[in-house]
Amino acid sequence: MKRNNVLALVLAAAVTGSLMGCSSDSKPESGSKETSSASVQETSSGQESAAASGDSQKAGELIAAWWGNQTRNDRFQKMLDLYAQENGITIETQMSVWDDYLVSIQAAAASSDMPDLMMLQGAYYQEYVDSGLLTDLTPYVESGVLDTSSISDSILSTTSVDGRLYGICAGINSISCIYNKTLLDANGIAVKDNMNLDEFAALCKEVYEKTGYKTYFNYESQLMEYMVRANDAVLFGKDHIGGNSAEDIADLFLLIEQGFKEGWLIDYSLLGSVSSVEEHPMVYGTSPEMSSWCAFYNSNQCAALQNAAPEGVELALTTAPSKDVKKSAYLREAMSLVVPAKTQRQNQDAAVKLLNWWINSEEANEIILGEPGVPANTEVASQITALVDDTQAKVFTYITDVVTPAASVSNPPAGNGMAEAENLLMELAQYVEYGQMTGAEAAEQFFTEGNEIMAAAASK
Amino acid sequence: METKHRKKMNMWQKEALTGYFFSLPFIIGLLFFLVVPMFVSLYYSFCDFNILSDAKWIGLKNYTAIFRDNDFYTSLFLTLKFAVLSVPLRLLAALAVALILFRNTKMTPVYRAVFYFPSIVGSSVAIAILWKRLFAADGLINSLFGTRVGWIGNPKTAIWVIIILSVWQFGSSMLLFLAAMKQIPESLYEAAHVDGAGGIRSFFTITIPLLTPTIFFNLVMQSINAFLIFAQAQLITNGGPLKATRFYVLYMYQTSFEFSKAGYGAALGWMIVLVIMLYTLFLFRTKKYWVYEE
Repeated sequence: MKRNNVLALVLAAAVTGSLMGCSSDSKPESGSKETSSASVQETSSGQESAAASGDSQKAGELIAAWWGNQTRNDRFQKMLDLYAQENGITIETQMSVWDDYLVSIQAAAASSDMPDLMMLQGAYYQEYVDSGLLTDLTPYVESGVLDTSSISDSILSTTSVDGRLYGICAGINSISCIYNKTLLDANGIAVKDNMNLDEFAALCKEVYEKTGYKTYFNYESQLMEYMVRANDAVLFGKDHIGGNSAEDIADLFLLIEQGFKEGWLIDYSLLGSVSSVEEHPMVYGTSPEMSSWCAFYNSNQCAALQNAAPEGVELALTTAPSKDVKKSAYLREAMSLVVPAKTQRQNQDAAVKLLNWWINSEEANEIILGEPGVPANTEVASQITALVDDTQAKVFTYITDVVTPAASVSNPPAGNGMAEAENLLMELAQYVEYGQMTGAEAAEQFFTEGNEIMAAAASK
Repeated sequence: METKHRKKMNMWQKEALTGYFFSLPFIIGLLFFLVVPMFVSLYYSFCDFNILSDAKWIGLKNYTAIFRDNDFYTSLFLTLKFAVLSVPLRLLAALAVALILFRNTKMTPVYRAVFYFPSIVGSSVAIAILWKRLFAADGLINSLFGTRVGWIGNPKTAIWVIIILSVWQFGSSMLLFLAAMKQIPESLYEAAHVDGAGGIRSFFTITIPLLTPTIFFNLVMQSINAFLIFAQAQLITNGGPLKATRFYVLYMYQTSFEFSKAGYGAALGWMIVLVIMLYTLFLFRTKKYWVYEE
């Protein structure tokens, strides 16, 4: 009798446990740490980093986090393994795709459990600095632990807030039009740099007529920011949308509308959501009508795109179109490395040491080979130019020969409402892409509502 | 005599203690992962909280903002639409297959397992990605029918992709129906047969009425789940295209984490609790009109 009772209790506990497990239909399984080419990534990585830190209370263990793609993940992992081996510490890595990255970092910040070294974009620094979440690196530079002697001041300024240095640029890049060179060469279509909007539209039309390949616009927010600079406007100001009227910000919407009307714009209803480089129609499309001849990405993403491209397809870079490319083009710090302040382990010194090695050592960069962009350290950049593969050589040449001569100063960091305004921009762009809104209407709506959003966020 | 009395008390206490001990894991989990976060979120819903810095109390401002928010209404109606479409379809499928699997043949256990399988794996990330690939314009579904419809990219059909995914997971409801059907006494059917009732007549006058408690239970549980649809929508369509699948919880997630307005997001969370409560109340109040109670 007693044995039966105990058995019954154990079974009851097991059933309760399994019922808890299958209780809600709409809870996802917690994501694994593998990378894959969809936005599977790390939807619960915030929880994971919390769990991970519970284990890593030992000194001599660092946690590094970044966003990216498979190529970057492989290279960073290899490089960090090398550092870990040489220095006798362990480095735990957290990889993610861009869409999920900020969310997971926010979750980590909320639980005071950020990684020791992580990637961030200059545009987001303000929020984090205001909340005291980033370590001020200026003392480390002054004491010599962090060597910034080979990094240009203009690049350093993109990762500084109020004169204090908070991060180091991990790669210089610029938004560009990456295109299918093989396809265009096979059809005798020429591409020239510094195209303006009309020339670009004519090129898209030519490609469509000769090959049936369409054009897919992605990265609408960065692309618009780029184009708007030609109208002397900064798209995301501190508390307003740049420009004096909707006309100043309408260029991209009008271009998309033109594509829709002339037929060279891809049919967006045939596509699913493109959540990673590997899913872009330029490399993912299985037929001309579902493919794009070009992609708008930061120049450093060319490597990942090339890796994802089908056999025999060679990619090349040119400037993204704009009314005035010289005004639009600028060198961005594509991403920078920061050392969070409020971590459980307080390993800031070790993290800065790793940061220094990452940025300045030849052996680190020989592995990374400029995947996030041209190295900020100019000496290192020239050292590895000889070592990079064809694709990267193209990117480096593009940055140094094409963009740098044409580049002007980059935009200052945006205000707090940027995320919401950007979301509105992407939604409106979608309406234009589906032909449900004209470019002018979209611009008008974005100008009005965007300004409201930026103002509301800034007044908090 | 006294020793016997003490022994009895000890045994009873021991059993009670054993009970507490075994349910302790569940209670601790419930407390820390459900109850405490719930109250913290209630607090946040009255605050302005951007996750990176501390929450600032602002009273009812979030709730008044909700009523003026167009996106709140659109996402709520979209979620309601999803619930009203997917739940009845799911129950119908479950009932139909349960009827077919009611007779016991050699293969029945196999079929039951096969039909139950989707409801176990269906809510996983892997299946969502698979679904995205299946319904792509160059995916398997289109190849089978020789069409080229962009199921996921077309605003009109995108929600149906997710509805079909939800209906595909009818297995758990089906098992409950099977169990309930087995409880209906054979004598009722025999009596009806004697009185001249055919299969269809006895189905509608015996089976369905006696199943109504199970139908009701399934309706309530599945509706609550349907209101909380999130993961599949985010993975397959990410709220698009053109906000055609931007369900309530997805909107909540976007507000809290992408726009860093977690206080507003918490308020949205409590609003959906209210909505679900009202919906469930409505179902319970109208229960007496159609559910057969013994």
